[in-house]
Amino acid sequence: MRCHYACGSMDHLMARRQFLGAISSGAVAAGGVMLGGLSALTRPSAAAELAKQQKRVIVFNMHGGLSQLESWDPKPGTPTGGPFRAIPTSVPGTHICELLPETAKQMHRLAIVRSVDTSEDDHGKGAYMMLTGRRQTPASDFPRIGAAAAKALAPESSGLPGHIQIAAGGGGRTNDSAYLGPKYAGVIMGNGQPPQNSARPEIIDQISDDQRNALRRSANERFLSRRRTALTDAYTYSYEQARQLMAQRDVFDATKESEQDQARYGKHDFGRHCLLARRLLENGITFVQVSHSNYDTHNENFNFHIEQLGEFDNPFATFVGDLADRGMLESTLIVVLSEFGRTPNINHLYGRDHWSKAWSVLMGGARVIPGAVIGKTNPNGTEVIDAKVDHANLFHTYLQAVGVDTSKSFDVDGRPIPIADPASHGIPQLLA
Amino acid sequence: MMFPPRPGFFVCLTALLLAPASLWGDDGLAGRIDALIDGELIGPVAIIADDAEFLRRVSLDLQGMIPTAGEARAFLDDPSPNKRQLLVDRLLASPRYAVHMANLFDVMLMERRPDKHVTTPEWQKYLQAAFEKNVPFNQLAHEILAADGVDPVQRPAAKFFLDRDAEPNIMARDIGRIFFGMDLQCAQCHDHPLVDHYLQTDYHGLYAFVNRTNIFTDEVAKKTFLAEKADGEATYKSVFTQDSGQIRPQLPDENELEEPRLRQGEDYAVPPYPGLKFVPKYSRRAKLAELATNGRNRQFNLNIANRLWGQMMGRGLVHPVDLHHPLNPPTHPAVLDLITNEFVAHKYDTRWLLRELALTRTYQRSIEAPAEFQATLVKSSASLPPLTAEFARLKSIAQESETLVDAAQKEFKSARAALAPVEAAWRAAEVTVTTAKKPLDDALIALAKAEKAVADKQAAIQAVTEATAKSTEVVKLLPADKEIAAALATFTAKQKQFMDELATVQKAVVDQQAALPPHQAKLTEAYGPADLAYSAYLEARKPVDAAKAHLIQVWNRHKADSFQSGLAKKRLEANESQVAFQSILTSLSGKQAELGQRRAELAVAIAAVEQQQQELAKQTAADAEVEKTMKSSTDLLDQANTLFVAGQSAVQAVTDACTKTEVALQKLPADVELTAIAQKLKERLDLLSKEVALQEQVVATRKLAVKDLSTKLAESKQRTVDMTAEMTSRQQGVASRTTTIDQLLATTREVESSIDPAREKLVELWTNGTGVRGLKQLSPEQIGWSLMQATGVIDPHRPAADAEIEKTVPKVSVAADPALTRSREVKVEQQLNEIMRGNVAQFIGLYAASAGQPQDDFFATPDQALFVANGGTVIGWAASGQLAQRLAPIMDAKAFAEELYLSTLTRRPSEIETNEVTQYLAMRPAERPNAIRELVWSLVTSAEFRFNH
Repeated sequence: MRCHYACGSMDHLMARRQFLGAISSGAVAAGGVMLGGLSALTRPSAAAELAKQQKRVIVFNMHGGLSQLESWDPKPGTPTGGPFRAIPTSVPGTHICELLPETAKQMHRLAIVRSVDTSEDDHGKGAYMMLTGRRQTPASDFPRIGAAAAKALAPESSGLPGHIQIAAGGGGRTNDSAYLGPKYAGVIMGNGQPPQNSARPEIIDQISDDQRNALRRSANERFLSRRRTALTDAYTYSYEQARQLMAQRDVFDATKESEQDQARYGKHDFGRHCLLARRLLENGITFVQVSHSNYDTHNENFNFHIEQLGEFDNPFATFVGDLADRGMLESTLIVVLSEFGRTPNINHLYGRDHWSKAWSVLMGGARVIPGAVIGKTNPNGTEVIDAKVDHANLFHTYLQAVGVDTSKSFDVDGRPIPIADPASHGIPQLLA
Repeated sequence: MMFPPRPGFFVCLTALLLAPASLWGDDGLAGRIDALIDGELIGPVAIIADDAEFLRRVSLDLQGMIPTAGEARAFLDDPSPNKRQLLVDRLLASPRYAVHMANLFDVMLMERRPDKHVTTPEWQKYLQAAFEKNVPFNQLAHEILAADGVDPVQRPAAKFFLDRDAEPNIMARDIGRIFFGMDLQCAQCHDHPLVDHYLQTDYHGLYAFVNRTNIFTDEVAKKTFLAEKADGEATYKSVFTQDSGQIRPQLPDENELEEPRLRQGEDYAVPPYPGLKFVPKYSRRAKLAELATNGRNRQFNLNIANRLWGQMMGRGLVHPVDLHHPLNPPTHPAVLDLITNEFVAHKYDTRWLLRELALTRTYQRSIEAPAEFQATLVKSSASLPPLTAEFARLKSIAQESETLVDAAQKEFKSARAALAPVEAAWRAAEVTVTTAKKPLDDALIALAKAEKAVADKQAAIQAVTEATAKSTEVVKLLPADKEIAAALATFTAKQKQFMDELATVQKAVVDQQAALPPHQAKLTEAYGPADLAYSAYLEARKPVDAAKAHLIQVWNRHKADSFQSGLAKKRLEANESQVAFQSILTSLSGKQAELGQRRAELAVAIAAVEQQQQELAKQTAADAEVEKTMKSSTDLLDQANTLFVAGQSAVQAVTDACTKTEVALQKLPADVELTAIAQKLKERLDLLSKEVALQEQVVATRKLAVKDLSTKLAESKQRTVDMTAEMTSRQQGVASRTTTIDQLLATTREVESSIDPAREKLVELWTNGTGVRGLKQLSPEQIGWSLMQATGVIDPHRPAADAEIEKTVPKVSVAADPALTRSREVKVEQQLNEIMRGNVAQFIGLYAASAGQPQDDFFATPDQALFVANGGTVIGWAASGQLAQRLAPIMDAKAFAEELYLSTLTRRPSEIETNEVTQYLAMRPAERPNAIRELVWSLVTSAEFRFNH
């Protein structure tokens, strides 16, 4: 069983072949620098069409467990509701917590799922479930949403990675693509730094670099005239991708954005990361994950949420608005998730603990119906009373929102593997 | 599930006919394999690879790296006809063989999982020893499956389970994949959704072998071992159908095991009491090791034979190697049967099998597909209808036998349902036994504790007694020292105290012992009903067992039928690919023919346009000529008219003068002068009138001429209009033909561009069918080692490894003993492997699949290319390895290029390549070291280097 959007389809092979043809004929290689990514590959009109059709996904991972009561499912005036008010949003009748005033103005572009029940209160296991759509079992590992999205959606012809994670710390490659292989593993932009080894070392000047690559290509041509396969194509192409990436290194540099935009997003880490995410998506990166830490508020839940959401609200709302202004919302899925929510019960340290029985996830863009609110919790927020969904339903929905048929399988070197849990399904009422 | 092997004599005969025995081994396995492969080829056959390619290939496959330039030169220049066989034997005999095979099997068995309880170097040394001794594979597998980690020599073998934390699901999955070639992971929670023949019971049958196995941590020794419980059942429930059940251990395609029932309390060799590594009297895991490896489990044997074939040929006969199932049959069932049977008959001798495989023609074929293959395609078209019919027939047979399975399934389920109450009764009786056993266990644990307390106390007493004796001596020497005297007093007091305490704990032991018999009696009492209940259960289970056996029998038959239909499908698909390619070719030649025709038509049309253009030009000239004549005629007419009008007016004037003169004459008649004037005027008028008449005639004539010309002009103009219209229509003809040709060209190009991929697909098909050698990627280890070999990074480390071994095993000490000398060589090779481990690790990090995933998939990422292009490692090796140092002083261009190519690509350069190298060096005379670095870099990053071909 072959899925047609995944790599290996004839279209992708053809695109790569044409590209390699252009390389070996010297049309693009002359200067050694390739500009414009996709546009260098095909006719401009085709590139524009591809860019328009290309679907993207961004996940905001609210690390530690965002409180649904202080965000998407407020219960003011109840014993569990806490001190904050609910405010009206741009969707008549839909209220969210007052800590998110800017996001409230964007709610007509977003949708809330208020009926998530994952029944898993462990950080690691919860995060695994939310990002893979499966329960963690010792015997098997499943690819995270970023790897699955990159495999299903990323154009084969791009020199840029399909799966990027912006996080604190160092760079490198994540180990979260399971059977899809390292090709789809996340490239980590540790604190927003560009990928490793993406700069030419000083001891090799531009001319030498071009010359050694010309030698490499001519050696390849001689060998490939004897035997050429998908493997040799993928290998020789990876060098061209690397050169494209080097030429487009600016894509990874958010300081190249206007001073005004940098001010709009805020100069703190999360603001910079949101702006960087916008830049990456605009440049054709398929999947970006931004982490915001830390929501694990066992004590002082309310003060921490004032602080954390105070940082989150403006850059996030700016990001949503910018995507809409740029016409990218139709092709970009936005997800705001955590490993779980927080207890309705307020403990003696004014904290809320881990809670996975009734919590919320925010989505928007792509096929997600703008302004929708799916599911309901009871007045105290202790139980889902309508349209209960879990991690597997959400995972199906994320991918379906960007046009992936989740009943299909990935072909992994001849092994067919279901794209999502075959025992589950998406949330049809959330998608247009 | 497999075809019976063909009669041996026939195969041997064919082999002899097809290949001279001297070149291709003998009538051994190699020849028989070639005969089978040649008998089933689906496409054209590639020529045998040249010496250089063979050398590189077999070195990578048997040593895990490319040869040195020196080795390459020696082999290429060796004129002996049997040098390939000698090379294979030399590589198999080299100490590096074991190191390489240990790498391969480490990756196959552990899939780069992070170390947990046994380190990779320990484990690899264990495997190295096994491959050096050529331990039969089934023995190695037995050691790995049965190991508990206690025996220090065998301890590394326990890594397979220990480093999977003895998690039963991981163990079940990986035993299935790695030892039986069946990836049953998706059948854990339900029958496999995509592989019809992987059942949830297949998974849990394997799971039942290991679900009693646990990690046991010895807190004192700070070591982990594998322990096993005597109870614990494998149960399953499908999340799809809710069908649930319990299963005893069951190997693929076999019946559930008959197991002994040991009474609770009589079931452990070492019971699971605190601090003890428990050992059951009946071990399911030991049973697995025995039944998998005793030679009788077909799937175990097929799996390893297929994996070794894949290791050498680049692709398993069954591919992927962990997806054996009827609808994914081997490309050559007879070959898989043959090598499996022979491998088992040769006592799982890995070295022997690899040697036979390396000596086949199949192994030694070139990667280049023959250019001429039309005959194959024609043959395919002819065999399409019979293959289609055959597939349909076999498919319907498989469907038929599936209905038998459904019936058997129903019978089994109803028998199982009938058993349920009897089984429940037995289980309840066992619970009673468990309850009765609990006080006895507690008492035994308490007794053990008391005995330990006695032992501890006795040890304490002995220590204090010794201390007392010593102190007494000291007091004798230093009678005045009060502190020492006090110490002696303390020791004496303690000694007495301990003696009293010992009595107490000894009494506790006696008490505990006395408490045992009643507990024992209670337990014995409980045995009776449980034994009876079990007998009843066993009796009642007979129909279930029979139903299950029947189910497995019809299931296996259905699998065999499906296998045949799967095989027919594969053959049909292969055929269809060839036919499809043929149709692409046909379509292309059709298009090309049409294109030729249309082009000819276009040429004709263009000629017609050109001709018309000429005609039109002529006509335009004629028009102009007529117009010119017309103009001059009109001018003449105008002139005549002017003269005529002037003449007329002169006649009028003279007439008037005549008339007036006549009037004057009447008044002055006879005026002579007047008369003369009148006369003159009259004469003049006559003259003038004649002239005017003449002029009038001229005008009339010219008018006629002009009229005539204007008709001519009109006619000519009409001709021009007509001809212009014809011209336009001819031009349109050209334009429309051009458009047609453009469209045709576009579709032709489309067809043309689909030819290369389709041809590659076809070549893959022939490769699988194995008339052509396939490309296979270098593993991360092979990349690392080959890069180091090529750039000359290994060279200085070999003496270092030798020097390290020299410290413990001096060369002179073993010189007299060949066995010891050999063992020392192996040690040096192992040492070198350890020295290089860190270097190779960088490549594993970048080029290997994720831990715990299949490791043979190929992928190429920009971050690998960026590492090679911009990272320090490869650039550094290219710049300053011994190859760069060797090349630096070579000024002769040809010698330089040869050293470069032999070192990196294991072959001599072509003339073009030599020239390229020469020119590159000449271009950068001032920076020769950089030029050398880049030349080396460009070859080790080429596709030719990255693949084993």
